Amino acid sequence: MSAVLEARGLGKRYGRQWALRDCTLTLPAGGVIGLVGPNGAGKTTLLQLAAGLLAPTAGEIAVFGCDPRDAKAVLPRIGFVAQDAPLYRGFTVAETLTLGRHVNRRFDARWARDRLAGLRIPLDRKVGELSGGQRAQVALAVALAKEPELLLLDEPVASLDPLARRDFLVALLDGVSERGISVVLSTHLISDLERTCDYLVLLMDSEVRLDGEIDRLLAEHRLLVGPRTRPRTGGGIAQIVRESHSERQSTLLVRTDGPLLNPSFVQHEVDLEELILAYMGEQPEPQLHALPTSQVTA
Amino acid sequence: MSWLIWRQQRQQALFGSVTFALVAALLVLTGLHMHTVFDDSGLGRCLAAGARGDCGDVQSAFESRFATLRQLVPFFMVLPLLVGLFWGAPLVARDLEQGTHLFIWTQGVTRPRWLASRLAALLTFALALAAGYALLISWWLGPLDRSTGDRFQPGTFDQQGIVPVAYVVFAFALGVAAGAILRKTLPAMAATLVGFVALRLIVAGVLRRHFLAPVTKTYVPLPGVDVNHPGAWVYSQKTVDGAGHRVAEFTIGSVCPPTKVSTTATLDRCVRLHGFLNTDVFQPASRYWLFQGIETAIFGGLALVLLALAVWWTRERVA
Repeated sequence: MSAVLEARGLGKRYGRQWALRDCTLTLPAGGVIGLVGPNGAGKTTLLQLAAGLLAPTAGEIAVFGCDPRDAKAVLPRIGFVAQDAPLYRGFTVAETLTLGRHVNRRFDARWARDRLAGLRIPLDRKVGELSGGQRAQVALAVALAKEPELLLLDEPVASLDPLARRDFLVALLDGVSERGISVVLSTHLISDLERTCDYLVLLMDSEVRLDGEIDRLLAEHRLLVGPRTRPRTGGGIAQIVRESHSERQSTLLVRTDGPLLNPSFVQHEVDLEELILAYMGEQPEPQLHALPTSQVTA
Repeated sequence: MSWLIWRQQRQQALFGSVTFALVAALLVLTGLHMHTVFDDSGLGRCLAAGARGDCGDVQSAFESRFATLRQLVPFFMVLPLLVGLFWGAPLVARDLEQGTHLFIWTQGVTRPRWLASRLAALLTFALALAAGYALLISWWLGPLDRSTGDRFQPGTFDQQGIVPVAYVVFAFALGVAAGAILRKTLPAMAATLVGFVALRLIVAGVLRRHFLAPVTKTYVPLPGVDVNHPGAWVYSQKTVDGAGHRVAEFTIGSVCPPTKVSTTATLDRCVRLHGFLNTDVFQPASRYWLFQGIETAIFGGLALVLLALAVWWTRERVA
């Protein structure tokens, strides 16, 4: 499995504020990679660095082994859809495809047209008059018609209602499996990940908190419930991600590195959402009663 | 790329062409009329024959007849600014403002090529219109220039020759650079407006008179000696008497008044006796095109710097 994207000590700073720092990643080719994290965690920055739209402040990034700022080498091989799928609003859908044909050496306009017709998106409609979901589909069609090897999608479904979101992701996965391309997609909706992604990158506070194949991550992590103890690593526990203690009982979310030796704990499997929230340092179930009312309604 | 340029710029091209056509039609119609009057009244022949530039009633009649029309020309001086505001400023800024740069810069065309080809297309078009306008306005002003002899004067100098072309290119480049750096169309338009007007005022009001050291001519203002410098840009003219005190020009006429008995010789003697001396400081008419060239080089050179800055900034600094 070769790497489609590699970053080493990658950082991007705006003024004194780091949008992304010390990011070291090796993303495998040929799968769907989910980039998650709260808003402002650096997802957009990482994707724009990968697309060559931004220059790193520190470290380096390589896409297909090339510097993405070397646009000539990288641009023809990637498809990029920015957040909210910006397109020229005054262009019709058909004109948008014509544009794609004129600014790309390789562009399968017929495929894109058929695909959009199949999604019942009127080709003679102006892009500005489409719904958010339709616009996202047009942007995705343009990106896929480039026949890229890597597709970078920044919050492609954030603005869509649940139904349109599902349609979009289904259409995406169809397109991806049809062509065997790699996808990096960012989202702050964890539920999207489980259905679509093979690989997870969790960004928090501009840093990579967790990354790996989702199956492996789920296999490695366990929720342990047992009598109240002061937890320690060792004996199969590589890392304690999160712990909570009541008077008589301790609940630990741990990363394992072998069979667990302490018999007093009951093991549970974790799901992806629990895992991500644990790494984000939040309670898996939001305790609404503990919050002041203003925050609940906000 | 050319399809995209046409698709995105056709509206501006249309507005530009219509504006140009209106101005051109106005200039051609009135200009033909003016040239006919200039030739038929004999003013053209008179001015060609006597370099003195005094053709009496015919001349003043001609100048006053077209004085109102002449006052239209200063309005055309905003045309370059329009190119900067409506073609230059939005060129990069509009994409940045609407986020579409994230779309177009991740297609197969690199950013420098994307910008360079749009710049080339718009600049070529702007240059063609500007050159057409410059030729027309210079032809139009020709008879009036020859009659008044003031095409070198500040204000008139700026309206004709080749400088209008340089103003257009500069305004365009300023708009593009401001748009790339400020990333918003309206602020970029404001910056273009201020920058263009400021530089025009500074060059016209301060720098231009120092392009070359003026010629200083000192001579005895004998009657009949031409104290006018037709077509020249006169900085100052002063007359001093024998004691070196500055006097008004007409003092000579009252000190040595031409009477029935006075001959040229007696008047000359009177003037020399009082020691009157004229000192004129001016840029001779022959330097007109040299000055046009220098001014064009200044605005054109700055335009090139700004365009290079815009391309560099778009490639390196913007995302």
